[in-house]
Amino acid sequence: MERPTHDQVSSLEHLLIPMADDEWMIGHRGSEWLALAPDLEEDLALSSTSQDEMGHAKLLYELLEELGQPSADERIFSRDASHWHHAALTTRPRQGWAEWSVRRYFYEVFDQIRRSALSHVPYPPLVAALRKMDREEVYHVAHQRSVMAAMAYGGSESFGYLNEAVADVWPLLPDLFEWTGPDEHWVVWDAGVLAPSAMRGQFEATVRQDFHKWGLSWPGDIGPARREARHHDNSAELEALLTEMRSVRTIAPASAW
Amino acid sequence: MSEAAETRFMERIEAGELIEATDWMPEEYRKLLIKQIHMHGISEIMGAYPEREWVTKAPTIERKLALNAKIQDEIGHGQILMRLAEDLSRPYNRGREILMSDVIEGRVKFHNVFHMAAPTWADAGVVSFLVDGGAIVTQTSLLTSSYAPYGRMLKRIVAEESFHMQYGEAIILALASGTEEQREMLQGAIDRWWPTMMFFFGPREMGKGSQRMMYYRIRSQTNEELRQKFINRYIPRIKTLGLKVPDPAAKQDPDTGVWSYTDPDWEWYSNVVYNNVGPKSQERIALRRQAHNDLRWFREARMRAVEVDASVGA
Repeated sequence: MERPTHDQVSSLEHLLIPMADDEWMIGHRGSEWLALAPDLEEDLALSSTSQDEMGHAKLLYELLEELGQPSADERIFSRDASHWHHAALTTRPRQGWAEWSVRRYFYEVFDQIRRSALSHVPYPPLVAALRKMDREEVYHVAHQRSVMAAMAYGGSESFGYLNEAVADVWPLLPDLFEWTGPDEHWVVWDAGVLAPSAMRGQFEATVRQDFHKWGLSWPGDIGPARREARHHDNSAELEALLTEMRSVRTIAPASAW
Repeated sequence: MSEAAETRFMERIEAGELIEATDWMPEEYRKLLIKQIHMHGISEIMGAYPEREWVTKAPTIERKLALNAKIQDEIGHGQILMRLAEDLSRPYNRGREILMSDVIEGRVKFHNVFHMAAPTWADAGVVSFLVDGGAIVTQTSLLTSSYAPYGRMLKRIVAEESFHMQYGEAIILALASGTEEQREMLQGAIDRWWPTMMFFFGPREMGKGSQRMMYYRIRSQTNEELRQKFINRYIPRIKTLGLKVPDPAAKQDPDTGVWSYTDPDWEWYSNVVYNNVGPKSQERIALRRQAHNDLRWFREARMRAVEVDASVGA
């Protein structure tokens, strides 16, 4: 493929920034679980995953940087809160282990579908990046399924926590499928799999199958996304997260650290 | 077991033979190993707490990823050491659950350094620079331990600790060549951690347990030898960075090469370690309790799920 056109660069930005933001945020929140997982083995798995996710975010921001966009560093440490486009599911503050596990499971299933859809975008650096990510992500999905299975088959107490967590996280799902901006941003690539409706369909089918196996009842329609999906202009939670994340850097913003 | 077996065991030790987990060993040897390795493993795990406070605030992407990886290494060290402690504790019927509970219940102590506060980003760097540097000194001396599994694990651990130390060094260098505020932050952290590190290697006169470990060649160097090695390595490094060594008594005898130093408050630190009354002891033990006790339901669920899982084919 030739160097992408202006429209294609703009599309890439609109497709990849939400994805990179999701990856960064879920990795950031994941890192808050360091030394707090139920056992050492789970701690090791979780911290690997968080590092992978943040590494993927970096990779995606760098793809855009090559196209003349701001650097990964600028995106993370200087971007205004209103210009972040992650899904709310990725930044919810740490709650319980069941809630986090369920949230991660949904995210991994969604992320797998999204990567597969994006691989239809004929931009070689992106295809190469997705291939690299896939090598690591395959373990994330498998691991999250094993955590879900443990809760599902682990007796009434864990099954109860699992059900509560599913009900709690369910309303956060619709926003996952919303890209920023209008449909042109995915239409330009002539890849129908990128359509939010196509991704929803695949997501529902996959989750339904897993739920059936685990004996979980279907909580109902995933429902429409909020109008402000993936825009967090006034979110106090995001402001708090960014303030903390940048608290050291702001001591000497221009200095090496 | 007979006296002859003990004599034979000591002959093996003195001949420099290594002991494997399945070999016969005197109960005293086993108990000393458990005490050492359990405490080492738990210290690795407790060492995650002062640093995890800084992961969400790490000032660059690379630092954040590296700190995350470093903490993962520490937990990994904890995990392999706990596996050794579990093997050794089998005759006493003490498995992972109870060995992990010991720190929450105050039955095993952890290194003094991890009871202390790390109030700035510079502290996070200095922990890697000085504490991991100190750990390399002690752990390198244990590589020749008479207990072969411990020596083998330490080989891997020391290799990773040296990356941690380099990571700490990189942070220290960046801060030392940064703004006035960054330098002050760094000097403050060095001032805080230096006396703590003097205690880290243990009292000048070793206790009975340590002496018995020397006898069995579980360890081969005295506390003072290790402390001297550390001082000798770090004082020049601190000076090279243009920082002050926070001990006016630190002087090297030109003839013997031995460093003099101000004694840490032995009593205060001992109390911290034995009674978990350091500035951050209870807060960090509470986090461990949160992970181990509050999430026990998940470990139990996973155990139960294994059978169902297999039958369902999930």
